Formats: sequence, structure tokens, C-alpha cells
Amino acid sequence: MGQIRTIDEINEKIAKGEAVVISVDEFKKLSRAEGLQRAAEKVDVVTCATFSPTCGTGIMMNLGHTNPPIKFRDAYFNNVRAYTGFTSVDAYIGSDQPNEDEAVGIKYSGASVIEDLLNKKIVHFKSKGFGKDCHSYPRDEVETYLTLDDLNEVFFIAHRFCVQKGSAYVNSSYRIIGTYKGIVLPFLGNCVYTGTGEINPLANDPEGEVIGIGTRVLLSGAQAYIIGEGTQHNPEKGSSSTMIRCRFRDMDPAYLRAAVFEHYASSLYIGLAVPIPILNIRIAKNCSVRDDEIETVVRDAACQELWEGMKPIICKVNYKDLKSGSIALPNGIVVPCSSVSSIFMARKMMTKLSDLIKNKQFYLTPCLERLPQPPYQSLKLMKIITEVHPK
Amino acid sequence: MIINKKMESYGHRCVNCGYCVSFCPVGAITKSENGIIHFNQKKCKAPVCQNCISRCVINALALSFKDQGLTND
Repeated sequence: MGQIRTIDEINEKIAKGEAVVISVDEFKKLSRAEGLQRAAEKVDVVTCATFSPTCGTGIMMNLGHTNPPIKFRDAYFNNVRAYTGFTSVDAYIGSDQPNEDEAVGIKYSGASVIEDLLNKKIVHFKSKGFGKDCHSYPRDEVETYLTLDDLNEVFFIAHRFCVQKGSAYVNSSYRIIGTYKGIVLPFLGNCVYTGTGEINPLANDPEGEVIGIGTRVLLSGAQAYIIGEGTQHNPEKGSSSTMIRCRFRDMDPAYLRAAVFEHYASSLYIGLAVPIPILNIRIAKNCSVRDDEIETVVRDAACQELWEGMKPIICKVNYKDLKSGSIALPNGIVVPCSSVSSIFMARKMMTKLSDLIKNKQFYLTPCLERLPQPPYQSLKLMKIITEVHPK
Repeated sequence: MIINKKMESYGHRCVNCGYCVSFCPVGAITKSENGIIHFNQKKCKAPVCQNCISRCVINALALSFKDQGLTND
């Protein structure tokens, strides 16, 4: 496949203010109007984005030493437990961690703490130490109030984000079911799904040609890097995902929201915008994919048993059907469908990234290593055994 | 307390995901081509229904009290 341009050439054009950067929406229109070859020759960079809730996020922070020093045995931010099983005053809080008070539960969770810290709100912190058992860190406990400005390094990590496409859910039972895509109403009352379809970054680079380890991206307003594949990365089923890291302080609160999914868990809305350099015609072709070409499946959330690791499939649909607001199930029932992902916010992020590149504030990086591609180990169910017989 | 039936979104918090659209029993919430959510106040059955308020995952919706001189801030 003939090379049209290189990333170095694109970065030179960015430095001169000459790079042609458009959103993936505009690129799809351009390639339909003028043909793929002409569009690929005209455009240097295409921006794609997604804005969705994800449970797979958290912040790693260093809180600074106390005097006398303490080594955290546990840690609580606004009564939400953080993980402290590493160095003395480091803590990690996950967005899906519920409140210790059962009456509060998921209504004020790790996601809420993360949102409050980013909004510079005061957060109550308490921790127990190891006391005299630890000679270097003898302090027994600490209790204080903190804001983001009081912390040292704070890193935001998304373990699984930007999933290429996900299943949609309906519910054939007589009870409402809470899922990570929202409430699924009984008697096939609605259909819920996630994902931004044709503007999702991985949907526009399904072979992982340009999005890989080391790719510089924009995560909720902050310049970030993809550091690997996300957990449950499954390219064989068109369900790739990424792991991303950025400096928490650089994130923009306008692109981050704590969310509560009734009868399920808490979650955190974040947005990811990715620049795709149009290096050859194959990348350009991938960027011209449309919603009606992105197929997914509708599953029955009511089934408690997993079939091949997943809920049973009802039918196949594409993102054009889902975005139309209703889908027809095989039994003829038409159900309304809605998504918790925001195309409006994703488009805002694409525009923001395009503007940053045009203003010479964002340069492209080559991918250092591709995300794992098929053949890839398929996802295993947990092995549950009751006895171990030593040999 | 009698509350006004006006439905409002907290502009600063709403992300226009449109999750509320499919839960409105009277079709008072619609999503435009550019992805922005609109409320049709004439169709809306608030305060009787409030389905969208209870379903919104980021607490971006509320009944407006402004006409009674109250505030929801």
C-alpha cells in the first residue's frame, strides 16, 4: 500500500501551521463527495472521539509525608476506600469503589471523589498507619481535609476505555435489570447500548495500524498516552480497547462526570479524542466506515447463565439502526433504544483536538508497539474449584 | 408544596447523551440531528411522571421552581 505521507512530515506541517486537520465526520463526507484517493491526498489528520461512562478508571496519587511519618494501612476519601498496598503515602482510588456507608453505597463513590478532587473541592481524608510495628513510619493515624492542590503527583488511569463496539441489551423478564449501559425495562420495554459508532477511534482503526502503545491522545482535555490494550481487549470479536494514562491536573472538569447506574454500580464519564494520521489509502478507507457497516448484537440481559462467556444473542443490528432511536426485534416488536454515550460531547472533543493541532499545541507520535491483534487469547471464564489435591 | 411542571436540565452537567429519551412515556424529550436534547414543555407530564429525572445517571435533570420564586440551585 503506497505511503502518502509520514508522521514526521505531518508534524513539520503542524509546526508551519499548514496541516489539514478535519473531524472524522467531515472526512466521511469528503471521501463520499470527492472519492477516497482525493480525500486521502487532501487531509493530513482526522480526529475521532468517544465520550462514555466507564467503570475501569481511577487515580493514583502521592499525598506527601506526614510528620512524624506514616505508612498507610488503609485510606478513605470522603468515606470511600482507596487501595494502599504499595509505598508509604501513595493511594489509588477506583471509580467503581462504593461508599463504606451502605446507605450511601454507589450514590457517592470513587467516581464522585475523583470528580470532587478535579473540581478543587475539599475532601475528607483519614488513614490508619502501622504505628510502632513500622520503625520508619511510626505514626498511628492521620485525619485531615485535602484538595487537589495539596497532593503531589496525581495520575489518571483508564484501564479499559474506548471499547470499539459493545453489545446492546434488551430484557425479556418481568423485572427491571440494571446494567452498565443503563436500566433495561422488562417485557422488552427498551434497548440500551453504548458507543459512538462511526466516530469511535478504534472503529476507524480496527486493525490497530496507528492507535497503539505510545500514541498521544486527548483524554478529557488532557494530553495523554495510550499505554497498552485495555482489560478484556478482544479484537477477534471487534471489541478492542485501550489503557490510557494522563496527568490528572491537566484534565478538564467539563469532560468528566461521576455517574450512578441504578441497580448496578457507579461509573465515570470521560472522553477520548484520537488523531489518526492519513498515512496511506488503507487508513483512509478505515476512516470512511459508516454506522450501517458497524455490526453488533442485541443480547438478553435477563438470562443469568452465560453462553460462551456472554449473555445469549437475540439478533444482529448495526449502529445506524441503534442511533435511529428504535429497533425491530425478530418477534416483530419495535423497542425504543438509547445510549449513555454522548455523541454531542464526542464531537466537541474532536473539534477541541483539531483546534489544538491547528494551533501547534498538539503533535502526533508514532505508535511504538501495536495493540495485540488476532490470533489473541480468548477471554476465559474464572476457574472455580472447591478442592486442590497436591501432587 | 406545589411545584411548577417545567422540566429543566442543568446545562453545566448534562452531557446530551439522550439516555432519558427512551424513558419518556409521552415523547416529550427528543434528540436533534446535532445531538442536543430538547424538552417539549407542553407534552411533559411533570411533576406527575419524573421518569427522566430518576433515570438520569449524572443527576443533570430537575424540576424548575423558578416560577414560584424558588430556586433549584
